[in-house]
Parts: sequence; C-alpha cells; structure tokens
Amino acid sequence: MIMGDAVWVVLPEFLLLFGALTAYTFGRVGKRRWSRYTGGIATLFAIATLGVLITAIPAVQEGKIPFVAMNPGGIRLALDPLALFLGIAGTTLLIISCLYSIRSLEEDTGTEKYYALLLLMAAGVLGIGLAQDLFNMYVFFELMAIASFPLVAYHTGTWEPVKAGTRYALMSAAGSITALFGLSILFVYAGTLEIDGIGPALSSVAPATVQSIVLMAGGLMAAGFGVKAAIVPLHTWLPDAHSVAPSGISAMLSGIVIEAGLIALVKALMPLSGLAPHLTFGLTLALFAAVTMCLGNLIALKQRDLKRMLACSSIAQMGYIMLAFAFGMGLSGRGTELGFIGGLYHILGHVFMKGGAFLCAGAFLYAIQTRNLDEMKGIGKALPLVGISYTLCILALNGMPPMTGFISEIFICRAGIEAGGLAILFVFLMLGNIVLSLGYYLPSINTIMFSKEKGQKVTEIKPVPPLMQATILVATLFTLILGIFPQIGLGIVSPAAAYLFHQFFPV
Amino acid sequence: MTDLFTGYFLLSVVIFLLGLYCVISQGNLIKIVIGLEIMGKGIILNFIAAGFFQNNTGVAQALVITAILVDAVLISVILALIVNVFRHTGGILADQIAGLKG
Repeated sequence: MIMGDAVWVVLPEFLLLFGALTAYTFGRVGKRRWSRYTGGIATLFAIATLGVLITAIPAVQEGKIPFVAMNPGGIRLALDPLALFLGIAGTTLLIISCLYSIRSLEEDTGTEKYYALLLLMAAGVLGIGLAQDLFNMYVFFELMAIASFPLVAYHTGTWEPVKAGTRYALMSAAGSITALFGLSILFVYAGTLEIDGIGPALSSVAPATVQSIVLMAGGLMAAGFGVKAAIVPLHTWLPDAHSVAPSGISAMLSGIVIEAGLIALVKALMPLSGLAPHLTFGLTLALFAAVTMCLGNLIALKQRDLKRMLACSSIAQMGYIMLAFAFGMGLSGRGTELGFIGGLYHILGHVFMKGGAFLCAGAFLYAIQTRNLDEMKGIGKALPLVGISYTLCILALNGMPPMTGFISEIFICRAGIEAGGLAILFVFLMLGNIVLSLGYYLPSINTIMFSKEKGQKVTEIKPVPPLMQATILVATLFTLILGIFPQIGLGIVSPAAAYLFHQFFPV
Repeated sequence: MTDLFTGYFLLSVVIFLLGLYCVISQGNLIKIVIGLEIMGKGIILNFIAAGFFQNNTGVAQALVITAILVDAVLISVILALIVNVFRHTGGILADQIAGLKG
C-alpha cells in the first residue's frame, strides 16, 4: 500500500537507479562508440533527479514529510529534511562530477560501467537519507560502498588503484559487517529496526539491560559506520583510495560519500540517544573528532602528492564536522541546534570546496600527468582559471571570510560557545587546527600560483578542455555564493538541522 | 528471553569472533574474505534466532534474505578486485596491499 506524496520519495531514487541501468545498457547494447554518450545520459538523469528534489523543497520547508510505506512494519521511505539535504548536496556534486568526467575520461573505454556505478553511488547516498529504518539504511549504505570500490580501482591497468581499491574494499566490508552485528543486537531486544520504533520497544526492558544494549549496539554501529566516515583509528584506507581514484570520483568520495557515512552514523545513534542517560554520545564523538582533526592535519603536512594532501585534509574536515555534530548532541546534557546547523552547512560547503579542489587537482594531473606538487611549480600561470579556482577553494577550506568554510566554522564556534564549559576547549582546539592547516594549504597555493621558476613539465602542458574548466568554475562559484549569501544554503540546512535536533531531543 | 535463546546468541557471537580472528590472523586475501563471510553468517544466525523467539519470523526472514543478497554482491566485488591483485603481482597475500603511508 502506498500513501502520501509517493512521487517525491520514489521518483528521485528511481531516476538514479533507472539512469544507471539505462547508461549501462546503452553503452553495452549499441555500437562500440556509443559508450562515449553514456556520460551525457548519466548527466541528464542526474539533472532530472535534482529537478525533482528542488520542487520538493517548498513542501518540506512547510513541514510536510512525503513518505512511502509498504505494509506496517515493513519498508518505509520518507523525504524528510535530512534526506532532502543529502539528496540535493549529493546530486549537485553528481552533475558536476559527471560533466567533468565526460572530458577527463575521454580516452578510456568502458565508461558505461563508470557512469552506472557513479549513479548507483549517488542513489545510495540519497537512500541513506530516505530510509526510515536502520536495516534499509544499511542496505543503501552498502549500495553506496559497493559502487565505490570498483570506481576507486577503475584504472585496473595500473597497480596503485587496484591496491588502494582492494584495501578500501576489505576495510569497508569489515566495517559494514560490524555495523550489521550492532543492528542484529538491537533487533534481538527491540524486535524492530524502525528509527521511531526502537525507543518505545526498548522501554519495557530493564534499564540496566538497556544500558548495555545501547553500549554494545551503539559501539558496534559507530565502529562500523565510522570506517566510512574516516574517524581516526579507522581512516587508513582514505588517503590511498581518494588520491588514486579518477578525479571525478575523488571529488564525489571526499565531497559526499564520507559525509554520508557520518550521517549514517548519526542516524544510527538517533534512536539510542534518549535511552541511556549516563552515556553521552556527544562527548565521545567530540573526543574522536579532536583526534581526527589533529591527526588529519598532521599527516597532511608532510604530503608532497597534491591529491593525497587534499585527501588527508578531508580527514581533518571530517573532524570539524564531527565536532559540530557532537555540540549538537550535547557534550553533557542538552545539545544545541546550532551545532547541527554548523555541521550540515560545513558538509554542504565541503561538497563544493573539496569537490572543486579535487577537480582542480585532476585538471593539473590531466595537463602534466603528475600529482607531485614539486613538479607543479607555476602551473597556475599556465592555467589561470584552474589556478585561481584552486586558490579560492583552498582558502574556502581554510575558512577565509567571503567563502563558505568561514560561515560554517563561525556556526560551529558559536555552537561551542553557546554550550560553554568543556566545549570552549574543543573550540580552541579547532581554531588551532585551522591555523595548523595553513601550514600545508598556503605552500601549495604558493607553489602553484606564485612560484618564480617553472617545473619541467609545466612548459609543455596538455590544454585542459573547456568543459572541465567550466565545471571547476561552477564548483568555485558555489563556494562563493554559499559564503556570501548564507541564507541560500540555510534554506535546506536549517530544516534538516531542526529535524536532527528534534530526533535527539524530542521535547 | 529464554535460556535457549541465550545459547543461540552466544553461538552467534562465537561465530562472529571466529570470523574476526580469521580476518586478523590470516595473510591470504581469499582467507580474509572467508573470514568476512563467517562473521556475516554469525550475524544471520542471530537475526534468525531473534525472529524465531519473538514470533517475528516474517520480518526476520526479509532481513536475512536481504543481508545474504548484500553479502553476495559485496563478496563478488571484492573477489573481482582480488583477481586484479593477482594479475598485477602474481600473488594474493595481504602484505601486497598493505604499506602504511599515513
């Protein structure tokens, strides 16, 4: 039985899945040279999906939540504000990434598989938001993860991607199986995995038992989904996988996939939050966030490989986002909605600033066939548009005022100050980390834009196609627009933050 | 919860830990994949037992069938990647994909 405004829920997911099927069959069934058009097909489906999601904005802002339910206790999908946020952020980056890949993968064969997997990955990201029970969320999470393994190892002819892809796949698989074990423990005691249903179902169980269930299930799920979110002891796959993947994929992986992993983690903790008052998820998450941002910045400092440096900086950025969510959940007692606003705004900004930076790094790689920063001296002068975009994206990552990183970092600091006490200490730690991150952001800009000498390969660059430059420009413009007019971003961020806050603190 | 159920639960934990031990201790990629599968099977036993003792077999069956499906897809993709590792190095040892560079 289908109820509610089913079309807004089902259509975006259907378009992405059907798009994957269409792109693949079109490339396989037709003549061999047809496979070059699959990028265009994938882009069209992505644009259609974004269109549907955008038409749903006014209804969701009014507080309506379109949903689809099949027999009570079964599957329930709903386009809640969080799903809308995740869908819009993911699909926008998907369009940029598809358009970019059309030219950057021009010489490759088998692109139909690439675009099909890319659309499946985006479908998984959207599904993590749509799912209203933890098991379906797990299935969509796996869809996203499984689609990303072959994409990392897309260039199977070279050793590095295969190595990174296999390592990523094994770590991610171990993580998701651990998360599933956490889900099964919840199912044993609650008998249901619906996010709204777990709390009431556990209310009849003895408090001491509930505490140990929450500890076991929450810990296992956090460790499992934490592999994807690159929480520090579980981050080791990230620098390899994100640096050797094709650049369009690096942008998607760093821009939305690891964030979707964190959202999955937060959604898994949502039903457990009120059950055991002695366990504060906020403080635990804040401690892990502190370690994550410090270590991410420290290992980024010594990287000479540009894409690897950006990948390590993603770990640090995940630390900021985790800290924001920790403020939202409350270090002790009640949290603050500002924390969720800051975290979600940083995710939205990170989509464009890290996505843009990776696309720029990809354009440099395309032009001179190396990722080594030392050989890129003065490349910004040879490719001015890409160089300037790179500078702006990197400054945004660092939180320079007119760009989007500044707005979200201000929100996070304000959330910390509002929480007071221990939170202030974490705010200072974050500010210290932002200063520390200048230690690798600025030298990279200096090498690329202002170096007096020219690298050997820079003298004979391969021209970067206009379409690639245009997509980079779009990503950079978004970082500027979201920084100068924050109300545009807040239009989708605030309802999602309010929804998350309400889930953690219903009263 | 009955004592019988506790038995099933402990059994599933033991199977899960056996799989985890296999993943950690083995140096062969195929054996690591087998370890992952064993972990997954422990979880599936847990789901089935929970569904049976709570008279909730319908939902439990749906979950288990989906979990098996996801597992199969996951494992086939990982095995395909391992085939590529073999093509490049002529071996399937975990040491070949290790190498911590931070």
